[in-house]
Amino acid sequence: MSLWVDKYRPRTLDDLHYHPDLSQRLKSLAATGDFPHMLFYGPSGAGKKTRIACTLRQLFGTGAEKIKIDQRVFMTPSKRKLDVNIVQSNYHIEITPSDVGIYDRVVIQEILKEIAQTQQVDLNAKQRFKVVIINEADSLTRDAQAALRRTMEKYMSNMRLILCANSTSKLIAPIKSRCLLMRVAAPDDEEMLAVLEHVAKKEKFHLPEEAATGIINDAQGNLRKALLVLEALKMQSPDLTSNITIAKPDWETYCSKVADMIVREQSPDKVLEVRAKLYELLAHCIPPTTILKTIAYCVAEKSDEAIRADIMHWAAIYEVRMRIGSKKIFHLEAWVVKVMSLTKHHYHGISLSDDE
Amino acid sequence: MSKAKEKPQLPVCCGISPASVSGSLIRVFTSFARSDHQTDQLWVDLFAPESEEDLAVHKRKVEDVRRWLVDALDGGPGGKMKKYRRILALTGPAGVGKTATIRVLAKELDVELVEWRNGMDDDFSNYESLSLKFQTFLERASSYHTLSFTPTQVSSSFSLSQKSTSSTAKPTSMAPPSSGAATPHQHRKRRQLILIEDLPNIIHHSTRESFHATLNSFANSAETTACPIVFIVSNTGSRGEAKDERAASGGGRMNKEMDDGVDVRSVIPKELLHGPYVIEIQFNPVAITLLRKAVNALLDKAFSSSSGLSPLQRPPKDIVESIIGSANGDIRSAVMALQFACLVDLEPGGRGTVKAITQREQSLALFHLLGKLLYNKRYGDPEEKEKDDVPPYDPPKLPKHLREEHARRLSKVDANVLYADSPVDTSLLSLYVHQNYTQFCDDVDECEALVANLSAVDTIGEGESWFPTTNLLPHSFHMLTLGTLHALPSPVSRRGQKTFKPEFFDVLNKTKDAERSLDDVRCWLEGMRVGGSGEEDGQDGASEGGGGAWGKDVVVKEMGKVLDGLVRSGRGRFLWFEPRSFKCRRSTLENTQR
Repeated sequence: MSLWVDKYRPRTLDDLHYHPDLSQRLKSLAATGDFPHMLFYGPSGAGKKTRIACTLRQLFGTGAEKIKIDQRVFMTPSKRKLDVNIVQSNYHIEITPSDVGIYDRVVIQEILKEIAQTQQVDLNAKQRFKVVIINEADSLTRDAQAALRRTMEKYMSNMRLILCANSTSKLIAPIKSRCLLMRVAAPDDEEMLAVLEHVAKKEKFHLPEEAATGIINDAQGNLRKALLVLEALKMQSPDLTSNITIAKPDWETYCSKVADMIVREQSPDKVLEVRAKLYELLAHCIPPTTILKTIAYCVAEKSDEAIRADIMHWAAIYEVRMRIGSKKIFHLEAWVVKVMSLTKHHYHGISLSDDE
Repeated sequence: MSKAKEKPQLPVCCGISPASVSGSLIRVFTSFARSDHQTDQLWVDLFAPESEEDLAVHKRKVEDVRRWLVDALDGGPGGKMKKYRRILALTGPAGVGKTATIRVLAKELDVELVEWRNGMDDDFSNYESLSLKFQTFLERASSYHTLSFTPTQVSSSFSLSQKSTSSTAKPTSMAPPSSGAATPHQHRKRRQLILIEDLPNIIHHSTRESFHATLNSFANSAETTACPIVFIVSNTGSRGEAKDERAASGGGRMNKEMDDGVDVRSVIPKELLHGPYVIEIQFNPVAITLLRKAVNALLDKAFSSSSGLSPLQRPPKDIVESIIGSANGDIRSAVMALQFACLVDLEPGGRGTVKAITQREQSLALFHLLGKLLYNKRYGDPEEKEKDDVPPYDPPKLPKHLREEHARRLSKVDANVLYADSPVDTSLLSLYVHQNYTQFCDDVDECEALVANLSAVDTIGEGESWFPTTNLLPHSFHMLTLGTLHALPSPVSRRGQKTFKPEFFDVLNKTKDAERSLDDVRCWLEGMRVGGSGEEDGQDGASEGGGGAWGKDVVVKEMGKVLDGLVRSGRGRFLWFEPRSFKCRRSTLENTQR
């Protein structure tokens, strides 16, 4: 039993439902034997990881699909032990640096060194190199990125890197210039519909059109989300009748509640209430940038057009600060209070001008 | 192996005699340098307390320590307590009489103190590491007694009788003389106490580990004949900005963990400290009344006719008072200052001089500091009708374009003084300010300015160094305090504000918990993906890849409903989180137990 997302994930480049030109390019790259370092980027749920897996299969054959999970222990310079789960096959190794927080440099260095120093022993292997996949490369710390750039050149002979990121803006330029950039765009509505119907057909049920459009609208180009929602709905009401509603995730409703609070009343006491909610969200592992973004969209929707631009401007500023600083709550709260202040002044100004 | 090592040595010698030798050398040296006059000896040593009455320690504390010692040595009622009275830790600030208490009580109970001293070996041929030495010291000290070389204890009836005849003309009998000479029988029974004041270098990681191991084995050894240990650990309230400055001087973040100075928690391993074998007794700073009593008693003693201090003037009362006031509960510094005041001619109004010399660095209590910041007192506040409410100088005027928004009355808070006195580092202080500032603001705008400043301080703090910011780190304290003072309203309206400890750490712990269960869920998903298909005998048994591992964010953001559904349909073998209440996200994975 696995989730549909996994179960019906395309295995080969030919199976992919959309972006055929991209698949073609990847196929020819894999054929040349001069495979470069690569950087896949694009919105989440667009199919980056799927394409990476397909490319691996193209490179190494079915052997790349035989994966195992290892638990490895790394030692930081300050003698702290890190347990990291690592997914690997004979031909590749996959790491998610955000699992180890600020110690990613240590883990990346260790793994790369290890891979780079061991030759491919399998004589039947199609390629002489191994592949290291780094997921969520945009969450790599600056230190880790700096550590990567040298390794990328030095160990080119028996190792290739495939980075996977949402946006290239958080990667340093030297890394971007050493990789072949591969943008995976989100599928459009028709492509998503095709995939959903494909899954429905495989699972042998009928997907009503209304449900499909509902799911697609909700997912906003995130195919993974669409498939997950579809499966959840199917579990909820097996016949997928038209009167079902797609509930938002709990944290999103929670965020919109916070937005309501911000818009409704602006006072120091309210700041305290909002802070409690923000803490609650953080305690549930919702990434702070996501919190900021979601609340910002909600607040902007509920606010007057005149201050929307400012709200977003400050959201951007505090997102950067969040990245630089260490105490996320400060920056979240700073933004909330800024918006409160903006809102207050805006409406204050309006009521004054009405009086005149 | 040298012969000396195999032989049981006298414990004091195991405790690295070179140090004690050098200690006595120093004493010889000072005594060589001084004239015959008694005034050159430090009063702290000269008038060290000899009985419980002399101690400037609260009676109850002394009683606590005594009870422990009696329990440890005699076993308390029924003799059962002895097992649990292995280690005593006396903690507290410097100069509050921890060591003096132990010494006085040891004398009172007739216990021999065996002390450990760190020392250097000049003999490198058979070098032994300090931690190893400590271990052997503990072993030997707890199982052997001190050898005595004083002739009185080499008991021969001859010397005994001779002594007694020389002192008083009492006819010799079997009764032991009341002087220091004990009979051999008594001597063997003389009990011992290990005093550890000087610690091995426990900041070094592996030294600490072996030190802890030694202590553990000491505490857990069933041998009840071994003598108890007393630790004396002074709280060296680590000062906030030290870390900032070290980071700025290029130390980087690597030594962050070395920053937590020596306190009882690093000396004694955690499980031991909370275990049954260790008792911690905390000493508080000496109360003013006790200090005054002790100081006056000392002065009486010093200037009584019998002592040789007659050429000196007894310091006037106001100087004594100011010394007591500025000693900050540290009797050692008070006595030192007193001696100084006697030696130096002070003009009658010399309080300032005394204060400048005697006052030692003290740190503000955290909440006091916080109050200073958040109440934002300025010259000319309405409710302050005191005579010193006049600004000492006129602050320079702001340029016109800034005046409307940024003009403030002169603050009574000096950021430089706060910086010097702050007991915590900037990062922690900022958390405290953050937790409490809203109560002190009247308006969102003030909040806005304040929290914007906090956010800015955090960015030049110790976050990820995307920019070379570490040079700014020492400025963060001033930025925090001055920015906070600038943003707060003036005067701050008083409405019975209560300051709290930051929630930040609780949330951090909760987040970590949640992350752990999140990892469990991800493992489970991974297992489902890799191994699950074989289990369900639908597909080929090979573990199949494709796609990557589930990212944390994805699981958190997108999978809630699906996992909900899995649980409800009974397919998932774990509890994700209660759907509506947005509460629990703990997973109980039967999967992982298998």
